[in-house]
Amino acid sequence: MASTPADRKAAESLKTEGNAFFSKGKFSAAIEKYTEAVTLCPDWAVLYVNRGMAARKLEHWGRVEEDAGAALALVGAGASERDAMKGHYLLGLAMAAGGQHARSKQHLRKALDAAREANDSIKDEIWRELASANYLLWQAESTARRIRHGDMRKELAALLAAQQPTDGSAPGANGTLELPNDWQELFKTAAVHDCAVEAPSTFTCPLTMEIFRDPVVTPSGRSYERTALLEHLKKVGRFDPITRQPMTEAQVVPNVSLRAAIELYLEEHPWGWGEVK
Amino acid sequence: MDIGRINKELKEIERDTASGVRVELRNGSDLQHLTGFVQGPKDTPYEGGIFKVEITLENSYPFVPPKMKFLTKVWHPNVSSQSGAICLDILKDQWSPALTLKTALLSLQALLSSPQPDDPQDAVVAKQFMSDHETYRKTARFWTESFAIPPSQSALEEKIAHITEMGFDRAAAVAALEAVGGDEQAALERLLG
Repeated sequence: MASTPADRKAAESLKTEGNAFFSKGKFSAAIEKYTEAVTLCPDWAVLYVNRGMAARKLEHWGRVEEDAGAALALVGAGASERDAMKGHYLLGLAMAAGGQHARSKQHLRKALDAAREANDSIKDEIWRELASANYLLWQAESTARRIRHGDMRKELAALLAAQQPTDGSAPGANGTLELPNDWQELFKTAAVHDCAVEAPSTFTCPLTMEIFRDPVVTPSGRSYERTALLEHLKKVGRFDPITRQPMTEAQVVPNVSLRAAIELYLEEHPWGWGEVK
Repeated sequence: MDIGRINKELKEIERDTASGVRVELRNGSDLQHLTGFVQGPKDTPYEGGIFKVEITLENSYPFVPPKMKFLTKVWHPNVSSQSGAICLDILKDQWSPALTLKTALLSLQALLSSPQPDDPQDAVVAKQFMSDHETYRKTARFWTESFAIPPSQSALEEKIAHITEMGFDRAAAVAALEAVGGDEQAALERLLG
């Protein structure tokens, strides 16, 4: 059932009221307004997005998932790219809250790519959530891995013990049998993957001292975290923080290659997500 | 305030034990009020001293310089002998957020090595530095021994002990040593009249 122009007009003013409640932190009241608007204009995607955003603040994840799904269902039917981006973002958050980290990652990734494409300021927030999802995923996986490896060690030791001649070489004093050194080395190598160390300084911003989220490069060829560099140019002065070469905000360029290199690094050292979240 | 950055800075300073500078939290987990420690550089009147620095970080750190002043009394052209206030460009208009607490403290150490009397904080010391360098050196040394060296290892304490052993009281010994820039023989001569 298509909504009439009058419905649309009424929905618009309800949305404005909803937004006003939202910005005052009155999320339940905002949800009520958006819901009223939805009954008038059920195929206006932004209503679902905004209601989902409010539900997210209240951590009503069922509602968030439903609204994100509704917004994404309207892609190609009036939903803007921004609605779709936020739909993926909200769905990613709901999945993460439900412990579905792998699916959460996919949606957040889509949202992040779209937000970066559009240079939407929400991209930093999405990046933090993505990092958080990746970190939780890594924590869950590495814990499971540690347990599995422990079990494998025991199993191998038992198999080895069963093969030992029963006479001379008895098992160790405490009744367990140590694995041969080569095997122990293998387990150790496998564990390195899950050990958090310090990220190489090439991958950390000299201003924030954390792994880059959105590295940008200056005319001097130095890279900084975008938000930190912009704050510097605004508050400290219009010069490169390291080389002191004069520069302006207009000369700041994204360092796409460094960003890609860091994402590659994070794929291989997933504990690093804990730092960028 | 960028808590993440400050924590990283503190960790890095703790790890690098060879740098000659150190930072401690002053009260509990408060990251805004810190105490820095700078070793007096070798071959200067400040050698052997540990100089305490009061560090205050504002909310917009690192986009404003850290506030630093000496808590230990220092006789130096660029440090107020009264308040410990420091005249150093990087703590003012030459600050950059790429600098850190560690690099700032290392700059203080470098300032102890090379005073800049043309841009003084303490006009009296600066004037003395230019016109009567030997007295400057002796006074700076005396202040270092009096305020910056722990009493147990202080050469000054030893000198005071020698003089008091000869029957002078402690206050007189200290006053005499200060008047002559820490020279034990000269102080004795002064006391003997």
